[in-house]
Amino acid sequence: MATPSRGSAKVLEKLFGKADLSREELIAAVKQASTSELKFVRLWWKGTPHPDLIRAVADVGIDNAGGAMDQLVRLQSPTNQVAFKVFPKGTPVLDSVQLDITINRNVN
Amino acid sequence: MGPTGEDYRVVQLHPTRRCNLRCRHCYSRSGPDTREQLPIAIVETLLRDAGAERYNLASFSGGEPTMYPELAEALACAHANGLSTTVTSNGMLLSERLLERLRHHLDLLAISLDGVAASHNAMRASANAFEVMERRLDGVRRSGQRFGFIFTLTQHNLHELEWVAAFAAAQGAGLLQIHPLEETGRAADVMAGSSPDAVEASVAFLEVSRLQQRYAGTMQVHLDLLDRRAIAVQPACMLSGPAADHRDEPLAEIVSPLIVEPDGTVVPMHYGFDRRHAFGSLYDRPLRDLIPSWREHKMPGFLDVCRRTYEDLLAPADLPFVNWYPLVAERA
Repeated sequence: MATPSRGSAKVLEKLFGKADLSREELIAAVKQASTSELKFVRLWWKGTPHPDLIRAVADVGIDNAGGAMDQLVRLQSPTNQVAFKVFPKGTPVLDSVQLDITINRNVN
Repeated sequence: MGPTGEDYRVVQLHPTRRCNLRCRHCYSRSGPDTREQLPIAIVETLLRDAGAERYNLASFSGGEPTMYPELAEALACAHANGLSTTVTSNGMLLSERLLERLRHHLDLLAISLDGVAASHNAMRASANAFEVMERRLDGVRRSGQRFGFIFTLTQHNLHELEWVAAFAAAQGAGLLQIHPLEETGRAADVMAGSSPDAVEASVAFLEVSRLQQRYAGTMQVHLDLLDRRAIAVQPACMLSGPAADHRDEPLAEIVSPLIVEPDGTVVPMHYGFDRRHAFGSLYDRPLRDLIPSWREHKMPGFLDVCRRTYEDLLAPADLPFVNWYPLVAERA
């Protein structure tokens, strides 16, 4: 799928050991990363950066919720003040949690 | 609340199209031969009106904003009206004297960096844009100015992002923002077909995730793409709730970013947005007088475009990442 002119070819090689990942493999990789990482829903426009404050909402599968919260806790540092609220989702069986996250940062 | 979030409501000003470079990806067709720029009186009135409409972040772009003679005055005016400030620059003209003039009222300086030196110079159509910018960074650090870098992602340069991140971190940047190329302005002429497709966007997401972990706690790495699965549960973020909900809101809650182009035209969301949705020209009337007419005659159409774009994004797609603003601009 990836061709030499794509910037992604070398990145795929670095990440997966091959430059021609199938679409199905790429979809699976994105899905895995999406459920284990946080999805920030705020969107800036080019030239509009502002890194002081991150507010985000993330939906995390129940299997990955512990890991996601652990990542957040580990982000806490003198430069990062991290706070988050957890909202369980799914009835009758809990299947995901919503994390409302605030990170105050001291940039430099 | 729009896609810039509930905390930052952005007015983006392009006070000049003058620039020392003629970049291949420039959406405003800026360059050394262009003289178009807004009088400071219009900029100051705009910032006062923007503050009254609850905007809280003024972002200066261009052209090269450091070539705008009254940039320091404009930044001070933004602060005086309650707006935080950012400036996006190619970094080549950041003399220590200029940095000293700006630093009291500039909250964040964003410097463009589009790859390794050869790639950066090619994108900037310049033999030494990278080298000149790099020489300025010592002065930026000495000034105490908070700064970051902005990387334009194309179909062809993702493999350089790791180097860019390492360079940015080594320079002491607090931010690396990755923004996909938008084929607007000069980019539409000379870089057609170079904006990242769904595959490049997806691999970019994977690479950025990796870099976010690597630089956690030292540098924020932010990718300007939306995950359509995330927005599906938050229609209000994409202005896709009922139009009546917005009737009594300040403008900043409806339109963010608000774009002020160098010819004085005010448009929602995206440089070059279809003029049928424009507020009008600041040369004719101040923003506060343009808003009532826009609310009455144009806001429903603008919200309808947002809603249609949002509904399109709800369709199933295997690779989920999209760039919201050009999608809305295309449908407008």
